[in-house]
Amino acid sequence: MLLAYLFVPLLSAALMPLLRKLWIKATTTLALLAVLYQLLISIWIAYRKLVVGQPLHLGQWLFGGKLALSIDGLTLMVLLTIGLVALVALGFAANYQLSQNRRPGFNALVLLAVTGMNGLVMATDLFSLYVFLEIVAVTSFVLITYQQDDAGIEGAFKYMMLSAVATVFLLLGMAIVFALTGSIGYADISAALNNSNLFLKLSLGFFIFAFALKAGLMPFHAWLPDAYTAAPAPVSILLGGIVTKVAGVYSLMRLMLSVFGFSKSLASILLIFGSISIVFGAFMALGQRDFKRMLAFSSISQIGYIVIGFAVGNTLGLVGAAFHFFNHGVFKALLFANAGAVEEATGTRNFDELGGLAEKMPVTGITSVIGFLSAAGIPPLAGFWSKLLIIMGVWTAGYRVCAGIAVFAGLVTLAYLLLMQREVFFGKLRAGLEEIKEVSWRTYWPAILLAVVTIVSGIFFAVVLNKLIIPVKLLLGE
Amino acid sequence: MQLNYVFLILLIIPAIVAAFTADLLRAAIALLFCSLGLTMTMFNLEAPLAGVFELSVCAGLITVLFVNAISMMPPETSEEKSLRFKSHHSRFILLPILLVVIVGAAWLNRNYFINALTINKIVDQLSTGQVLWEQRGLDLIGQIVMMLAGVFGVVVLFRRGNPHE
Amino acid sequence: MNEMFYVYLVCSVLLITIGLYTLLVSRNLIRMLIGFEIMTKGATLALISAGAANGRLALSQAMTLTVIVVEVVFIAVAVALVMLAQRKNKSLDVRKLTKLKG
Repeated sequence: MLLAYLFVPLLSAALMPLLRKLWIKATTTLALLAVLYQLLISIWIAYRKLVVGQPLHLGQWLFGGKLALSIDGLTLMVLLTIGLVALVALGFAANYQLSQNRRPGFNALVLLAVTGMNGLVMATDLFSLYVFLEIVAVTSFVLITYQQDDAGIEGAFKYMMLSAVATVFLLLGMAIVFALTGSIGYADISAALNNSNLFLKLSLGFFIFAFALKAGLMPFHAWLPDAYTAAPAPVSILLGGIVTKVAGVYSLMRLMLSVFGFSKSLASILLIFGSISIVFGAFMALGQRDFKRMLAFSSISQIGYIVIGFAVGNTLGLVGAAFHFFNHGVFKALLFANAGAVEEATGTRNFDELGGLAEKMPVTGITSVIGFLSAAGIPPLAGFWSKLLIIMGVWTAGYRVCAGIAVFAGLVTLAYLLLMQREVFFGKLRAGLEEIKEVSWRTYWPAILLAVVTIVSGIFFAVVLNKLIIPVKLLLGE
Repeated sequence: MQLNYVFLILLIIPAIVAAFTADLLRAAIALLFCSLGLTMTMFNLEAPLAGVFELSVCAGLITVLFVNAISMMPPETSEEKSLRFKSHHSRFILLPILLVVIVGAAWLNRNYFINALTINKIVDQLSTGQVLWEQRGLDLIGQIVMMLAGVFGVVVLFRRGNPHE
Repeated sequence: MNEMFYVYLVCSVLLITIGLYTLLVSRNLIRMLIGFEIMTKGATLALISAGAANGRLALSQAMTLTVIVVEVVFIAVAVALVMLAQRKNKSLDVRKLTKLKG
């Protein structure tokens, strides 16, 4: 059954060229159905675990008895997020300005990216992680440069080169670990590990460098703002909502949880990178005038939160980080969807040219308010709970300074998001914007869906915490 | 023992040449020699399957791709060329220093590092084909998806859309 | 056997350094790709020599095959992107690409 996560998007993508000849309008429907299937299956597995109580450690054996895929609490949460964000991205793209005969290619690439991400989170050894990571990387480059414009090519090229460097260092670290321990599976490596070996520490350093580069942690974030800004709107939703986090942050989490374990020095390194990301990401977001660029720096900041959450290694931090993973996917996708709607309605993303849109675009305005409240961490929306858990986790682990920095940066987050709201939606209607109208329902239904998810997961947080997130905690207890 | 070092020299010198030379076609040919050196090293280490793959794919396919791309560059006048050569060489001054530093550090500390490498050697019973099919099935699925992604990617990059409908 | 693996590891680090330097310093897009290709050779060397030192040559060769296949697809897409950039800007200079602020 786990193979369905891989094969349903894969076969849908493979069918795209055929459908392009036969019945071109069906391609979008097929793509939406494929990701909807993934979302529903993930909810169903979660339901079976929560309500019926079946064990969550599902495994899939391939071709002769070696465990190839497995799902635990963290993986399930990420699969759910992937399904949701991909659904929103494809839904937004359905009404986006893409020429009709290229649209099947777009859908196919998004589905292949989803296949790659599914394989990445379900992999049980480092090498499969590498293979699916490359799949995600290649499909992301082509998606960023989809409109074949100059900005897209530049953003994609920067991303490509830095991602290539990350790949090579990942391979080098993998070679060293393979030489020393004789295997590349998570379980085998962690069993054979002797942490005081110099070369193992070196390989851990290479891994952290590679995944931090992929995740966009500062100071390795150079590609992120350009790639996010230059990508067309549905691709920005996909990138900002899920791709960067799965490729970088999930890989780091999996490495810490299943392979290397938590240690003081490791926690310190990740806390430093995370704190720098949080603070500098927030300050640089404050100074931006382009809507999507501001959201890109905000993503760097939130990824820093997730990293410091799980770096400390206690239950609170891990649970908070996992929940923030989901929440950030939801509210960042929501904000990028709003940015795309604003760009489609007015033709610009520049704060200096926007203003007072709330009366003309009520749905976009309201959903962006919900997204902004969740991102800033205002109760009772979901973002507040996950940030609270992360800060509490960091505090109880003894890193008081870091917790204080996180709280301070939360205020800066509130500041730049408030700035965005005021510049774009409230205030006076700028000259030249009188004729714009709200975008059609086909464009804003993803935003409404995400806003509803944010509200529901915030209000029912206690339920969600106990039934969906605590299984993540079981990883630490075992 | 000596043969190992010969092949390693055959691997590293072309790499340095590929970096240094300002003419792109020579760099691509140097890359070809680098692949040859790597193939010979692989054959020497008793990994023939990987050697054959490296030879046919990297030395063959990738060189063809690069030469194809290089031939699409616009022609340039001779003064543009000498300007480019000079600026290129000036930027690569730092590289030999870096390489000497690394080799020096590795040589001086070699005993410390070699003692840190605790490798247990086993005698492997399986053949590569067995391992590939039985144990690494997920990687095979990954390879198929990757190739599909590459095909779709290149097609999407080059297909021109119709004007807005 | 350990000494030989050490030599191979140092050579692999040398190759990665050469490739990384080329990638960072180049102004021509294709030279950046050549730099990446050199880095990949270094990583492949490390992988194969790790397998030889370990005795697990079968697994190591399986990994190397997969790495070669994956990287060749990556390079093919990268060259396609470079050709697209060349078609648009009529030059392969990386400075002509950088119009976005850092």
